[in-house]
Amino acid sequence: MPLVNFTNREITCKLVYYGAGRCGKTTNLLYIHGRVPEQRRGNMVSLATQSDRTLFFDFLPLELGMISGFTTRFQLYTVPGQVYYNATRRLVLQGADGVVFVVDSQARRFDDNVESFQNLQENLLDQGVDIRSLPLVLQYNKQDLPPDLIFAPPDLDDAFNFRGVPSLPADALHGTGVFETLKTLSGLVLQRLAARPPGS
Amino acid sequence: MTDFETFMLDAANRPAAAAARAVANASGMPYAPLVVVGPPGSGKTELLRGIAGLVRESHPGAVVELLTLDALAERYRSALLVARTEAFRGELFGAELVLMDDFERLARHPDCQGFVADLLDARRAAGKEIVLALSIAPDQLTGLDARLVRRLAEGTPVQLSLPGPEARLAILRRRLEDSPDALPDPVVRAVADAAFPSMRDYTGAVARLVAFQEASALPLSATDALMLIGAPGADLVPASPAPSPEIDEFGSFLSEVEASLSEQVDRWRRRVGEAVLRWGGEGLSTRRLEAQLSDESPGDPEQLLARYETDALEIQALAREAAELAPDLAGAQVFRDPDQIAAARAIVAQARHRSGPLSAPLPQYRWDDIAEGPTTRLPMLAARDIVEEPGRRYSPLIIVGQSGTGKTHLLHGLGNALVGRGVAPAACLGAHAFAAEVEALADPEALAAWRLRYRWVGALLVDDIHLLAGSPRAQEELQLLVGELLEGGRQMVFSSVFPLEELPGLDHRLLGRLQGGLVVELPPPDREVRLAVVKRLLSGTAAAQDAALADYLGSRPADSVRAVQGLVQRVLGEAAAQGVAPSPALAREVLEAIELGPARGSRRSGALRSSGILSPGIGLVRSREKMIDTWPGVADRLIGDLR
Repeated sequence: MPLVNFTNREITCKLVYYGAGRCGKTTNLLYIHGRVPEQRRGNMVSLATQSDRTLFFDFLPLELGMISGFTTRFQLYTVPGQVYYNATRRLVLQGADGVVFVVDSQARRFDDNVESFQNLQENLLDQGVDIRSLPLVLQYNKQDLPPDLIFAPPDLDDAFNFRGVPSLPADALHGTGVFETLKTLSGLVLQRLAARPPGS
Repeated sequence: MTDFETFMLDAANRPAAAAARAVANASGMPYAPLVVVGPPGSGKTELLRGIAGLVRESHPGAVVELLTLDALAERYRSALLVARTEAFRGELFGAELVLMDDFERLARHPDCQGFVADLLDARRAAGKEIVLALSIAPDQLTGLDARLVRRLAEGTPVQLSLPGPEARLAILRRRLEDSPDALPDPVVRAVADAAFPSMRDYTGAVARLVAFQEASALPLSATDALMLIGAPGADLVPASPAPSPEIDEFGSFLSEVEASLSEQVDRWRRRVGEAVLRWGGEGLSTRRLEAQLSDESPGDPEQLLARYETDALEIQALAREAAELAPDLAGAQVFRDPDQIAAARAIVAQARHRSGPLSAPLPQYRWDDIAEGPTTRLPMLAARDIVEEPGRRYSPLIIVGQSGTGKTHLLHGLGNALVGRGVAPAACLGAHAFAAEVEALADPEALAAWRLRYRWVGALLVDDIHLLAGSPRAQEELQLLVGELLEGGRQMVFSSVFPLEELPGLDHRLLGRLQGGLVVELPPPDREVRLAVVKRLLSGTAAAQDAALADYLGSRPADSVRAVQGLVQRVLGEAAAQGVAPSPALAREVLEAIELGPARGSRRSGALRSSGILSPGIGLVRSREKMIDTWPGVADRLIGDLR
């Protein structure tokens, strides 16, 4: 997917929310969807099971309008978190310009987070993408839960953020940290515009 | 960030900034004058200072005069009082760059208007730049004399508007460069974001805040600062609760995206700006890049830069090649403009054509070897004038003379002398070769290429022009060529056996062209010429120092240089055959024995070719076949005749 298309004067950014099942990826998108003016957002496509787990993926297109002469749009995706949907995850991850890795801060989900994070790296490697070269933001979700049930952001940083990428605490259900996460990732992705060969 | 880059931050001010940079770099033709028009406080003075600063930085010794019109008027009047107007005039006329601020105030100084008009005229005539800054458009100026109005109208106007927030911020930060901690950066940013009508208000506000901060122990906040300076934007500072989270969150996200994206686009603009500086500094036109800078919706800057760089490198290579092929092309404007790459390629292609190998003067005919005698003074005088001033004195020069009188030697020797003087290329060839070249041109394309080659010659020398009689096409081409070379001030020399008026079978238009030149006659060699030729031929032989032999040979009658050569060769050959040194006695024996030949009964003496030796009735060649008079019988003689 072209990030910057000078011929059509379009900039399209594909941002993927990645993480273990039920960590809050879809909740992030739903919150964003709810705060975006109607004329700016497309229909959110969400294929979910009866148990509210994402079966395929969520897709939320955002039309940001004309910025610096470019029609700018962001496409937000989530991947299904469940282990057995890895093929879908790979598909969604293809051509991603940036990834939000949503960490479920609950202590009991720690191993799932670790497994999903490793799965992210593997899937990126499969596509020939070094995670170090891809804009990545860690979101420590569910920080609104009682402290005895969750890990604090510094503890989660110790566990996941060994590369020193931006990390933000969040409560996606109530919106805390949702737009901050999106802003941070967008900033990283847009910073790379000048470094990438145009038209690529 | 330099001043120009500051102005580059605003699309509306980029043309003005680019023009200012061109002035500072002295690249391109002078604007003569550059007229910067902008409302008060739009940064005109800032721009003029930027130009002056850049010139002083890049050319430390350069004299740059930056002055307001009031200051100029004051200096002019002071100079008048002490009778130093000429010195003052010299200062302004001679400065590398003159920048005049508040030019509209000239209307208040009518006594200076004549002086300023003279200054504009003189600098324009000298190709020196002058920049004028006005706060109102030139066509709305009143109270100026007509000459000044006309000069302003002939200048190049560029608009300058109040810088945008980013540019204002950069300007304010630069003002604080000397004391970077004088104000917290958020305060500077808040001032830059306020809505004052002119740049002076912004710089004044910052000065007031710096003074306030120095007196205050606590660091100023942006809100306090705006209240202190009474900024028009101060009441916009959010004092009320934030808007609803729905709008705020997305709006904030959107503005961050806009800021990030704009920064990237501006980064490209900076790259383009850097390329403008780099290539402009190398003397190339950067119009294409500057157009991109002033475009609100630019194309792909990477592609633009890559294409421009490719073109720039190619045009530099073409310029180098053109300079080698044809020095007169060096420095041509087309080789400074990558937008004219196609024209540059075509010119170099032409230069390659025209530098194709032409028939050069034969090296054995040396200019220094040409012998001169009393009868050849006139042709030699003309030849020397031609060598001295090719194409200016006698072009074409027509050398008329009998066969063997030295026309070819003079023609080629002249060609070699012209080449030695740097006239290149010199095409020197016989008329038959010229005609053969023309006859061989099968198609119009070949003809065009052939014409191109000859059109650019530095000199054209054609021997035995009478031989063109049988080739009307060659005559036609020569007639066209002569016309073009005459217009180009190129030197032409032709030789002919017949006088022009007696030239048979030549087109009257060609004859007309030739008759416009100087016709000189090369007579049979006189004694001095013969002696010189003999001495040259004997040099390097055993008889080189034998003055008596040279004198004897030079005194022998001969109607052509070729005949003189024959005499010498005969004596040298006989000496070699006998194994003796050449001597007057031997020469006398050889040559006078030949002259006695008719007495021994040669039958066909009158009919034989004499090679110019004035000894009628002799058999000249010591070929056994020709020496039939020594054969015994009539039948043998008959056989000899039949051969």
